Amino acid sequence: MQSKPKSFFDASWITPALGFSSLLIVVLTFVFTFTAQPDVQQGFLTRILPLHVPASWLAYLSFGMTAVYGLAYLITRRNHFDRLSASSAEIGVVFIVLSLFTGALWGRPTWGTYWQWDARMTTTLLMFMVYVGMLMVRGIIDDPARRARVSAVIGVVASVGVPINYMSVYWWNTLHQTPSLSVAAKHSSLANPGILIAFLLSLLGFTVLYIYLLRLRGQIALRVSDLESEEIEMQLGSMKVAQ
Amino acid sequence: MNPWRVILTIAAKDWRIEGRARDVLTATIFFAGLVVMILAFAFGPESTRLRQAAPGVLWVAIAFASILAASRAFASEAEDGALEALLLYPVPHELIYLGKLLSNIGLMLILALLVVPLTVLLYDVKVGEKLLLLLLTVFLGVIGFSIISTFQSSLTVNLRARESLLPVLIFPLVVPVVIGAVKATTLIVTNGSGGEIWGWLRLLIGFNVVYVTVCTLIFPFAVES
Amino acid sequence: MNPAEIAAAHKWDIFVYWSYGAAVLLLGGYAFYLIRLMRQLKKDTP
Repeated sequence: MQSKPKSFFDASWITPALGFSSLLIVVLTFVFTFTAQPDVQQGFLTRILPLHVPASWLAYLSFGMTAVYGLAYLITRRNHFDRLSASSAEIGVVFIVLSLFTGALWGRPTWGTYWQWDARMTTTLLMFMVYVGMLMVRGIIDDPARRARVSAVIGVVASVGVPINYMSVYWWNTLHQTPSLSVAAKHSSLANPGILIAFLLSLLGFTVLYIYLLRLRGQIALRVSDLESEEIEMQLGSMKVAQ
Repeated sequence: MNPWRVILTIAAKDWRIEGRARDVLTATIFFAGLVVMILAFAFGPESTRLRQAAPGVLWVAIAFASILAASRAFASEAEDGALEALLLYPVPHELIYLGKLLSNIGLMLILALLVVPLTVLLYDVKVGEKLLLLLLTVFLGVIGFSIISTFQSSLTVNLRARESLLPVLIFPLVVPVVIGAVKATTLIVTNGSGGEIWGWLRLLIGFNVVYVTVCTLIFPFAVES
Repeated sequence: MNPAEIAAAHKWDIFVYWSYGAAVLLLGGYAFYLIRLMRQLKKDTP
């Protein structure tokens, strides 16, 4: 089923290379993080931030790309885009779980609570639920064309939550609700050069990791769909034999 | 053809069906009333606590009823290929969504007009002179629920396990509406400041504008077969 | 600062390791799962 490499980006060495480089950058991030001086206000807890913020960024990126690929599918109807859209959503769910978990661990010592129903956290949790729902719907629909269409539509509609989530910190301030702590805290923590390098490296490493995971997941989805269509062909074949 | 007439015609069709069979309204009104009453039992007879819980109860009842109504509304459309026939009409599919949305909003407003007084009575809420603001909040909140639930039920029509999937798809998206509406209602019944109420109403308006635009534009893809 | 105060100030530092542990488990686990799945699929689809 695998066709010959058509372009530079189809070359088989790219995926493992991406995997190794993301691993390398992430390890470097760890080194910088754990050698960074503790922050004046937050102490060693500032080391959570190079993990938490890039994880959130990756969730945004994944869900944004889910919508972009979903839209591309709806326009071109190429299954390629459907596989990428679904893969991106799945990766986004993994990263948003990490973001929620590290956020809770950072919040307990800093704000005194693991969880607060503030605008950012609430919308993050909602995004998580929406995309889990999307993956559940994909699991239920058998017809591949319909599954692709429905999931692309959900992906596009759900992506409205990404800018809302990002802007929630600013908007809710104007409404005089719970003030945002994360933005102010982020700025104060980056005053430290060591942690700043770790932070930027981590952003880079996670982005490369995303591209790697997306390629890998997409290739898996391709093979799985090949297997599925083979199975259908075999069933059709046996039906013909039976007749 | 005049787009407003198309929208009104589709909505009028639904309302006529509803007027004859009363499928949706009887079930949902009864259900919403039950939710209000069961939660009244759950919160106990103490009137201060009931009064505090009232806004939340009201919107939980409306939200649940809205999901029920949405799945019922498109169930009638799925029978005998009625949806396919509807989609064959030579009008843009966007207008069909807006028509279905208008019909759903109409039904939900009738429901809300019955559930709000029921909650006010049972939970001993003091509305005071801010009745118009409360009606505006209910209006905006109901529209927000309808936008999402109508869209998602059109997406899941004909799907197996639709009844259990619909809440999963609808609830995470409408939670902002629930929050905004509950906060606004709480401020209204506790005589909160006008500026704060307006802030939450603005959230509801923004939500409705954004989602009605996105859902209308993407709807043609949701229903094609 | 006496030792008790220092200990109190560093009470939550363990969360840093929890966070990184979770990241390694989650992302590493996911990547490992995908790689293994890919190996299996490569075997099944020659």
